[in-house]
Amino acid sequence: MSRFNPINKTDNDELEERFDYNEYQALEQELTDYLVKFPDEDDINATIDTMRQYVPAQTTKSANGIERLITLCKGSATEVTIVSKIYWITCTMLFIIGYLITHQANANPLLTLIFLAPLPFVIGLLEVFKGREHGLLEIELTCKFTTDQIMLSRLFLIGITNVTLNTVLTLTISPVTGKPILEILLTWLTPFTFFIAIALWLSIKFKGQVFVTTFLSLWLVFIGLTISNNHWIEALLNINIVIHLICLGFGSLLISFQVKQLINKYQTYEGGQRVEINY
Amino acid sequence: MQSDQSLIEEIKSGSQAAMEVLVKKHYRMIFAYTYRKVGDYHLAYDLTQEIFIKMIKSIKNYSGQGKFQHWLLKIAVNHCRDYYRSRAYKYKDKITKIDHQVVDERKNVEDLLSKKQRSVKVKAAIDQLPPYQREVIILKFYQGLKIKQIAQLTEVKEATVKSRLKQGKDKLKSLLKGVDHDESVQSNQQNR
Repeated sequence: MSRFNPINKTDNDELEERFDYNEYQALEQELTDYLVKFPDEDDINATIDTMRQYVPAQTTKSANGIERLITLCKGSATEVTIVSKIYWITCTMLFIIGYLITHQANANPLLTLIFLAPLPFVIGLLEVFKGREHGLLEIELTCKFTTDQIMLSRLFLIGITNVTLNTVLTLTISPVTGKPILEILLTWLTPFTFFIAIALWLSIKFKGQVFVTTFLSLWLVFIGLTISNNHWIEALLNINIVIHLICLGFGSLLISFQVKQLINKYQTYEGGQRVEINY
Repeated sequence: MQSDQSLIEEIKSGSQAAMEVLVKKHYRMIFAYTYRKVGDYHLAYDLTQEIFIKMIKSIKNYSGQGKFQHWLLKIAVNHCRDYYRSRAYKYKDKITKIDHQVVDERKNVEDLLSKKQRSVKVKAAIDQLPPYQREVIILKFYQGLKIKQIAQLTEVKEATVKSRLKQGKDKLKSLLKGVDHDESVQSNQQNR
């Protein structure tokens, strides 16, 4: 510490009669002149780097499911402000467009819901990877979380947003279609899981523009094929509930597999150790 | 800012980042102590690194009782003592004694040129104190520790700390006066 610690009269009491207070003050005055030239930041960092090997091995936190979920929710809440406003505006626009189309007499609300369902998530993926796209992962690392934690929080956020928007839209079209809410939910949720899994796989493999173009092409092909064939529409809208549930389970498995892949990839990101400067 | 205790808990579970924060938080305090103790920048840098390595190696044994800063300072005190007992120091000390005359000449020139002349003088005076006196003077004056805390850190009785402080203070006083006296004599000679 370069700062000198002055001795006050109370402190001096403990020195008893051996010391004269004024004498001490005079000495203090002299000693304050002793300056310390401290090593610069690079030298201190070199010491820290040398010490890294002695830090105990990382132990896996035995946090239970609820604790993990709470951490994830907290992380996602932080991400709300970080995710760009354009994303939120786009989501709102998509919802309004979805609402308007599904409430038009000549449009099939269920098909519209199926087609629009994965879009907020896919657009959101651009937000998940925006640090990678702009070469800012190193900067993102300077907060309290690891890269995989940041991505997982954003995925959770856009996933929840997407499902919430779709569910609200489902509730609004339920009276229009006359079908039970659960059935409508299953109708869009099953293809949704497959699209999400594909989108995740593509986003891990390719960068922003390539990923978006590829996904949109696949999405358009799917829409084109579906609406050009009445049998396909019938099949898609009238799948047996058991098959629906099996497909939903399989789609969910694919999503969890892709999320795991993503975590593995960015957990081993170069320099991707916990780096915290916001203390 | 996170407390030392929570950082230590994170280090124990393998957090590199917590280690970085903890080191940066206490680096200046330890470096300042070491530098004032050994009086050499490069040596102080190396010793500081060794002190922090010792700290991280024994962090699992830190019980959390007492201030972490004092625990760390105790490692620094012991490590500097180890250094003074080491062959490296004894060898260096021998060489220093041989070169004393030459170094003194050079130092005088440096001192005169230095803008921080006063600092150099105080440093020289502190460097001349015997290690055990220097230790208590630094802990009392620069680290702001109480007699009781110094006694705990240095593992001696409070009376011994007081006695060392008294001796150190008297010696410092005479050393600093001596420097002033030498300087005024030199200055007078130059003026003539």
